[in-house]
Amino acid sequence: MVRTLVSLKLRLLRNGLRRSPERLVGYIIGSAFGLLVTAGITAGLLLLDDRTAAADAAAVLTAALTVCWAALPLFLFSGDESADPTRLTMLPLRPRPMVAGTLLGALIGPGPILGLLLLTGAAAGATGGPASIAAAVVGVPLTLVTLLTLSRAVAAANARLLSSRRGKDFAIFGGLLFAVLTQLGNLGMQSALRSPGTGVDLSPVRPYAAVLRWIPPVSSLDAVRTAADGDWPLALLQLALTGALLAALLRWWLRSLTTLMVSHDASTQVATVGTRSGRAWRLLPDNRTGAALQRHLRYAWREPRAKAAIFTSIGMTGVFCALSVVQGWSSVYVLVMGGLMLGLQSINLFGMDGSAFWMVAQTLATRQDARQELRGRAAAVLLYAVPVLLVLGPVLAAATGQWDALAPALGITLGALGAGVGLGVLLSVLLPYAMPVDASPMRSAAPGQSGVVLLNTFGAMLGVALLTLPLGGVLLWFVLADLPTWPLLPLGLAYGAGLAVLGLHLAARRLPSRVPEILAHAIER
Amino acid sequence: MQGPTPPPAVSIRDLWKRFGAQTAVAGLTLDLPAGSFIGLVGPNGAGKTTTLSMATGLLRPDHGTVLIHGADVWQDPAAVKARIGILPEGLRMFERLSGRELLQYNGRLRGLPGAEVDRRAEELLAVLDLAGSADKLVADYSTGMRKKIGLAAALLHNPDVLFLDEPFEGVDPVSAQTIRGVLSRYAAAGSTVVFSSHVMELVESLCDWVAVVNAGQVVAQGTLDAVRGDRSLHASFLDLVGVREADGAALGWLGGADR
Repeated sequence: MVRTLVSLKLRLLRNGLRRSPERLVGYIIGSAFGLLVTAGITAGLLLLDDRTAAADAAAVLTAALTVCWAALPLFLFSGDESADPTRLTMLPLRPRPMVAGTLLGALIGPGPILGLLLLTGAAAGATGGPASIAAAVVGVPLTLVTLLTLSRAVAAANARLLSSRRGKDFAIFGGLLFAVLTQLGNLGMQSALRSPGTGVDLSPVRPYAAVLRWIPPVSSLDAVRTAADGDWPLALLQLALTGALLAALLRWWLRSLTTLMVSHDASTQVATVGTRSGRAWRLLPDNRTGAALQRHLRYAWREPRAKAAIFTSIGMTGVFCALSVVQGWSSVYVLVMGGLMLGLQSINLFGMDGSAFWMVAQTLATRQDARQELRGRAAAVLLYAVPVLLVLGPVLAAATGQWDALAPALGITLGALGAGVGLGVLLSVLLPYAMPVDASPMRSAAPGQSGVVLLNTFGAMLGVALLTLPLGGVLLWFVLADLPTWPLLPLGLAYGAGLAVLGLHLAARRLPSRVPEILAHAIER
Repeated sequence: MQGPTPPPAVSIRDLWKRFGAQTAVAGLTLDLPAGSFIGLVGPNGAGKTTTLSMATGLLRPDHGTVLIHGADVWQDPAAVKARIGILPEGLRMFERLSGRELLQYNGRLRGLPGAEVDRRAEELLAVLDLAGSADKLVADYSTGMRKKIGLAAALLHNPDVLFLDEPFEGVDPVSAQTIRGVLSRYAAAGSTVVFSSHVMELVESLCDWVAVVNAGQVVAQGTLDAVRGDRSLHASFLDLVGVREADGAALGWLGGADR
């Protein structure tokens, strides 16, 4: 029974990798990258000459690892089938061997190995004397097993929710949010820990570490430090604390599994939520443009992939701006990147529809239909892009104090946005590609289309950059000739609008005759 | 029927479609009479879905023409798309809209005035027993509910010809009865329904005209009675597509006392 579950995990891993060479390469590169980062952190911990500082860092690191591991199933649940106990409900299994098998299965894979490496490094930095080594030999595996159990227990307790549509939707968006938060945390750590001249200073971490080291599973790792200090009863207590947590988690997991195995699936009832209609929609034109715009905006909020794409571009712009401010090289002109990122949201408009594009195809016959459809979708992109940029501009100006450069920066940004929309709409008609069927937010295209996607994304980026270049030239001329730069605002606006209209016109001419071809490309396989 | 033969609702001539090495539709020619309830039957992979996709303008044929009430699907798509309604199989809808929103969206894409769309949408939702779930996302609908909302979207603009690909696949008996009722009413008013299925009993009870498709070609067509003769449609269908007898020797262990 236990052996079967372990071999199931191995087989799932192997077959998953066998599905396409790209996956295998991605897996290997990802694992190698993870190994590199882990090795770097471990080496850094080992190189710390101050044992107390190393122990502080180890405590914070283990705490961060715990949070990540607890959150992991929320994002990766649909990816790792072996973590989903509901798939086994039809088999005559008892919970106890199932827990043992799943736990052993969970030990397989790059994640636990990297975790083991990291924890070993963290413990090694704090060792001193044979007692502490004995504590590490018990503490490190205990911490790792507790982390794995925590992850699986969280997954089992939320299995119904996670396998429902809402759970999957949340996973995509939550993963993104988590990534952005990690970036911001990273940024904060960098600015807090970097004291000029002396290298890394870990003293700000100390008060947090002082609390964290008493909370299991951090406590079992900190037992190494306590043992090295010679206070071995305390070290034993710390180990016992984690042991107690492990026992409690196993109990919780077992109870969740038992409930899952005997209760009926109510995930569809969890998922149902009504929609409401707002009054603002009545302002839209009562034609195809209005309908396309409304649906696009609704999808921007309700469809996790579309939502993730939009919030990635906004989040990346935000992180980039914050980074530039923190590192002290910021300028209002960083805003142009926001224009570029948001303009690119109009790439692959129809591919995003997936096979649902047939509903559009069925009703799109004339050039008039095409114009209205494209106009509605472009307007939807502008409807969220422009306000974001209008807010971000003054924020950047306030952060940098370059209020006088705000007007030309906005002008160039709007020019880039218009160029992005025009080019994106045209590419949507000429080079559509299918989005992947599975809900992984990290993959932006179905297998075998990476070429088209690269062409789309980088072609569009390059195109927008080239199209925005003239505005940059004008700015340079204005500055060199000592002329006021504010006329760049109306100029950029007009230029961007012109490019958008041109793109829409060209795309609308080609769209009606390309409808079946676009549908064939948009259907995800 | 009066006078000579009325012009066909759908006229397909020498239709071909290849996907790589595989030929899905191989010179299919078919005339479907107007005002009939037509069943397109055939085994899996016979080319039913491909044919319906090409007849409705969703898939470009390699060769051949399709006329809907005299208008060429590929030469005059505007005239054709306004006159047909479709319910495809295996394609999604915009599932992140609620049922009501989906109908409102679809009607406006069709260029119908907003107030009229809303009125028809409410009626269709009520008749198809979806009024209670009208504000739920289609993504949370059951298979039967999806088929019903798809049917509502296909009927919204009151088309002359309705194409349905496997409309009863995976549908529970209650929903199936509702769909049958709506379709019968629609056909009784003189419109044409073309639906594909591999459930012979269903075709027999609903259709007055049948076309049997196998390996991308029509192997029999005509009124239900002409195609089935004095046998059941099931028996004549198996004959037409040439089925192999089951091998009795294999699976000897299945059932019985020896576990």
